[in-house]
Amino acid sequence: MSEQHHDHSHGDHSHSHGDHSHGEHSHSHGGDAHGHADDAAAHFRSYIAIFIALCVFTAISFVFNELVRGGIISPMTSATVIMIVAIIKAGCVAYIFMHLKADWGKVYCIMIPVVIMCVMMIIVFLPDGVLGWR
Amino acid sequence: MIHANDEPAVPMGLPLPNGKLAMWLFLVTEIMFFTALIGSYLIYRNGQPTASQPWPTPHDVHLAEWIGAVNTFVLICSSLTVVLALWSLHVGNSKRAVQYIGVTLALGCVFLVIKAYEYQQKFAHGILPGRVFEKLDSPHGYKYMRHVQEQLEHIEKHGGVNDKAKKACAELLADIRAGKLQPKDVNERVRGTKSIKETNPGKEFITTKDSTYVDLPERSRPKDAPMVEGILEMDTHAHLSYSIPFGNMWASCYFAMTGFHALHVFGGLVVFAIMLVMAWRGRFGPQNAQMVEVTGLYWHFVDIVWIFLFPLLYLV
Repeated sequence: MSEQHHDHSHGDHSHSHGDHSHGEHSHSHGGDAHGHADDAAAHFRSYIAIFIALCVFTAISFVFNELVRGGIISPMTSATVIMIVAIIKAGCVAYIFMHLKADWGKVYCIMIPVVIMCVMMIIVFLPDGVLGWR
Repeated sequence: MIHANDEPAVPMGLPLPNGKLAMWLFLVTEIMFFTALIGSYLIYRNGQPTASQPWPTPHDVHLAEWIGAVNTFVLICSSLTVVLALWSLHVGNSKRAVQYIGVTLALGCVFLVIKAYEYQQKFAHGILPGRVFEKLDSPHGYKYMRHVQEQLEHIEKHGGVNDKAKKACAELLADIRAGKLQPKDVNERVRGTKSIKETNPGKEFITTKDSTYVDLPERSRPKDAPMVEGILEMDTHAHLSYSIPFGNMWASCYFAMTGFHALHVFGGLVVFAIMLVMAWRGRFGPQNAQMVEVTGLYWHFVDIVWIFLFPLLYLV
């Protein structure tokens, strides 16, 4: 809960301070300082958790690739798992490291059109890739 | 009459600092850029190649998965350190922030050094756009044979392979000089047939009709023909060329995607170096939090691009 609260204040910061940097907000009140320290610790923990998750996901990709080599699973199964893992990894980095958890409400209007264009581009390419016209 | 001052305040623009907004706008153009590169790669990879003329596997093109995995780990670590640098500034520890930025810079350099090693391997094995031998029918085949002859003469003169491979090289060179061999035979004796199945996992399920375009030894020879131990199976470090279907297209895609990505990494390192110089001159502190945040956004994006390049090039 405290983490969410901090994300709000973190995100809203730019509302009230415009171009001022985050580093300028010093908390003079004792209670605030305590809350700030708690939030900072929560943030630190979330960064470390995401880092560990990214390492585990990378290992999963590598292991699935080796399983294909061993003939245990089919290349298609492995490719599907590996690409899903890549999307999850990218999501983790964007959501936590790039602070989209706090900033999505502010950047979605420039992100969504691009995502639509990218998905459309891949869909337009699909017939050639999948059917191969052969 | 309504005066301007009476109008309700309308929020102007997105509620983001200018620098951060500019970076996000830049990043969405970057998303389009890399989507175009990756999309083109997917078309080339899945469109033209067929079961008998497959897309190169990582081993065909001297790409080691573990090297890609290490580089992935390095970039993930650097993503963590850059976000911790920003975190340190928020908690008022500028000194620690500078240390994290220094570690990020070092990790980025490690990434580029590993990438440079990989590129050096590609140059050493001639896996470059326009330099890979794909077709072995004439006149390409005879060009390929002449090329291998030159490589064998170099090995004969300078060595660089183990004794068993050296003996096989001498025999192959003698046979080429005697005019006994066709390009397909040379390719087979360089590449070998013993480990072809291991280096092409899953390919045993696909049709085995003869290829008129390329010559994976496994496909172009009769079923009951004896296995040939290739020189590259005796010594994987021998610098001998072999036929790689779609090798030129693969090399073009590989160098375009990883090259642009490496340039992005280099760009990020320049900014981190500037931050360190600022710190060295005593001009780095909490007032630079936005600079660190915006650079961090860029760096994380570079990490995300690699998160997709790694499986697409090394694994899938």
